[in-house]
Amino acid sequence: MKQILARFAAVRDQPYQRLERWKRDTGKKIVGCLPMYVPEELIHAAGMLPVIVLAGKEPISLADRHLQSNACELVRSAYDMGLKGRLDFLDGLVVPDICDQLRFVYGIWNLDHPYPLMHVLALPHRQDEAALEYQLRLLGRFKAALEELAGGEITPDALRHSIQVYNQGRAKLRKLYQLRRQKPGLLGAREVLDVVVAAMLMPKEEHNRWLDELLVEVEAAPTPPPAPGQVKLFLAGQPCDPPDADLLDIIEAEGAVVVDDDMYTGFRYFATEVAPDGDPLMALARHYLNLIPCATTHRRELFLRPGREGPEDYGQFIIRMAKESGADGVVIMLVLYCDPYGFECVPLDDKLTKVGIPHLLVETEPETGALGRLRTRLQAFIEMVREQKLA
Amino acid sequence: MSEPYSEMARAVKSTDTVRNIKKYAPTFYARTKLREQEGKKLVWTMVGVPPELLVAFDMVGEWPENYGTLCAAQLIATGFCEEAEAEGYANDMCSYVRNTMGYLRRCREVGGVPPEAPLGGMGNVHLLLGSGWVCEPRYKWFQAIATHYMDVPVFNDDPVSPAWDTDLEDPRIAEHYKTQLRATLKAQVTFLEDIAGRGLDLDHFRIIMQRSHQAMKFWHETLELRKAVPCPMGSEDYYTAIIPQLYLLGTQEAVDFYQALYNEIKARVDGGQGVIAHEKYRFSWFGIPPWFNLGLFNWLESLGAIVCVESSYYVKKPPELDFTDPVEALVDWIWQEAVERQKESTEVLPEVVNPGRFSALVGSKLVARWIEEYKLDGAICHRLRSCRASSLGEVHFRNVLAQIGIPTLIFESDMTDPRAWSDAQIKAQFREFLEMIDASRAKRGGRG
Repeated sequence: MKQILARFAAVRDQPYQRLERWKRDTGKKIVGCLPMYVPEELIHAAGMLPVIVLAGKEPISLADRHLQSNACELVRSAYDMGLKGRLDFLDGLVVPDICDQLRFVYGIWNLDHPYPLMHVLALPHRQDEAALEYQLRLLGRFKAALEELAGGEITPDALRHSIQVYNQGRAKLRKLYQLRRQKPGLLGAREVLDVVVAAMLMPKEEHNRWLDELLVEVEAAPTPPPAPGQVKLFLAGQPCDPPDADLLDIIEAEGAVVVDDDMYTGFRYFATEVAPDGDPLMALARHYLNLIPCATTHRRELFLRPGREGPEDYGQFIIRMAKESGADGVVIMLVLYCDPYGFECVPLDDKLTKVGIPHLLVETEPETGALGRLRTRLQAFIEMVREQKLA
Repeated sequence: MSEPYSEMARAVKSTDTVRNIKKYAPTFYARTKLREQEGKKLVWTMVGVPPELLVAFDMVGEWPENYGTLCAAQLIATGFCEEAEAEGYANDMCSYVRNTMGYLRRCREVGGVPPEAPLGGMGNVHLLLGSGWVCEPRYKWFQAIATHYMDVPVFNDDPVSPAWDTDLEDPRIAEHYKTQLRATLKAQVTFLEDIAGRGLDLDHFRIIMQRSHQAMKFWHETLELRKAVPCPMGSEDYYTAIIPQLYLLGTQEAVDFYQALYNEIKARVDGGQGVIAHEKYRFSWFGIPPWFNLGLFNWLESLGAIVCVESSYYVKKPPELDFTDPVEALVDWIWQEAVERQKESTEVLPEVVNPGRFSALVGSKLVARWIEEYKLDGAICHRLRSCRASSLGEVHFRNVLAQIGIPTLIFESDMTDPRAWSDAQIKAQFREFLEMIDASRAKRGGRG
């Protein structure tokens, strides 16, 4: 199992060299997508490889000449990687309009360091019938732009096939998450993160094959005996970027295990499937509007009338997920300068308090000395959850 | 040089019309009384929601962001912001939002309006009518209020945000966006109709839209008059004169106010009268002002510097509209503004790319034109610690202006939270900026 996991880790560790090689070997095009929710299936159906552009590991140097300092880490880092030419293997870049900062960076990136295709994909914040039609038209324009880049039509059959390939990948990842819940401690948080992030950085067919191999081994492996006082944690916060690996390591070093999460580089990436039948473009539009509750959207039906009932809101969703995963506590990761999530974390904090789920809010921006403080806070939190569990 | 204005000063207005704005706009200033009148629904709303709709449904509005400016001016905002931070909101989150959340937290704590709240608080709200226009905290703000503080109906409209490189002249693309604008506006109207228990009276709405259009024509023409040397109106008046534009469109009050202001400014220009007698420096201003310290503009004027044009809340010339279908006229107005802004090269500034009707940062082509038309010596960017939307693009913008030889000062503070103000440091930055312009003029042998 460790050998297979090492393959995923290697993809995450050196994604760009691998992608450049893939491009040389296949002669195909690569389209980068900034987080979150770009329908990768459309790019795949055009015979190109979609990859998710995440923050780089290098210190930010060039981006600060163009961006103000209170932009989020992902925007500054990804754009910095672009300016440095690290992403020059890209044939296109798609930026979803889910927040001001992404929309802005699209504009400046297009001016300063464009790729052959630059596309901003608006995603409605409201989720109603008008938004569905709007979304469908936006996807139609996106499809046309991809066809021009690919030099060929995206046929409905090709798109249906791509949806199938992606749905298979989603199902396999959900299976992996299910096994993680069932066998706490078998898979490390960093290892699971590697598997999901690798799915964003390599051809899906290959990732799906690797997942098949991994799932066989994970299913066969026995659940490790729980360490004394083991604490099970749920990670919330849906940051666009993967959390700092150090944060995950601290959690595990303190005798806690991560049993589930709601991260973009986690459950959120594969939580729901695209309908395999009907018009495939409409299926993609509906898929976006039927996402699990997200900080970047406003669910109209939840707020129209007092005494509202209906689909769960973000807080209810997290509580359900945490309970279903058997977690003893929730760690909420708040990315510095992320406004949409900043609005969700306060009601979430309140709701978790009301239902008696222990939780800790941590800011994830890396800064000097922050890790030491974070360690102390996580230690205290895990100890508190442990005592509460034993009491 | 003497500097008569101390830290955190309120602005001393230059024009009679703005000084007497309460007389011209009684509806806005008496809203705390009006909302007590029987049968009036109190709506918390925001800039970006067409105020004409509130007029059409005879609802009384309260604007939490305007309340934020009031709390800022009275230096109450710090307390509310700290309350919000204690609740868990990040200290870099929009200070209008923090001010509101802190106010609500205090309301919950004391079981009513907290004694420190100006104007007796923001009233008992019946519905929240929000807008995703202008910046992203807006589509979350009222949702968060409804989730966390009060169980009232909420509506949030969704902006359309064509990217700067979209071909808006392509009729298919125009129709794509206009269809969405129409659908959102109709949904907003339906929401209000449900609450008001009656339909939108189109004949009444047509009159409201025509008034709105007339008011904006007067206002735009007034702003054009500021190109005169000496400049007849500065930011200390501008940032109060925007009140009818933001909150009272569709009322006769707004028309009367802007007509009076136009007449006063026109008379000044005709008589060669400026705000300051000896202008040394003329600037454009980018970003929301520090509401707690609008006296800054008077201080700048004491140094011979006048702000002639502001990007925030700037109003373009209203397009000619067909009011036969007043709802369609509103759609068309929003759309045509978006197209016009795009033509002005709105390449990276998100508030412009997002064609909200009221808050307009501007692109480099327009600013290059402003430099000529307003005879500007430089640009001042107020980097707002808690407003990413208006800060994004400033560095890029400074780089663009530098290429055409225009200096830009970027200084950091905030719109609502006075804790972000560092008086000595900021004023030193301004003085250095003016000295730099002097030095550059001396080198060129220009005016000074």
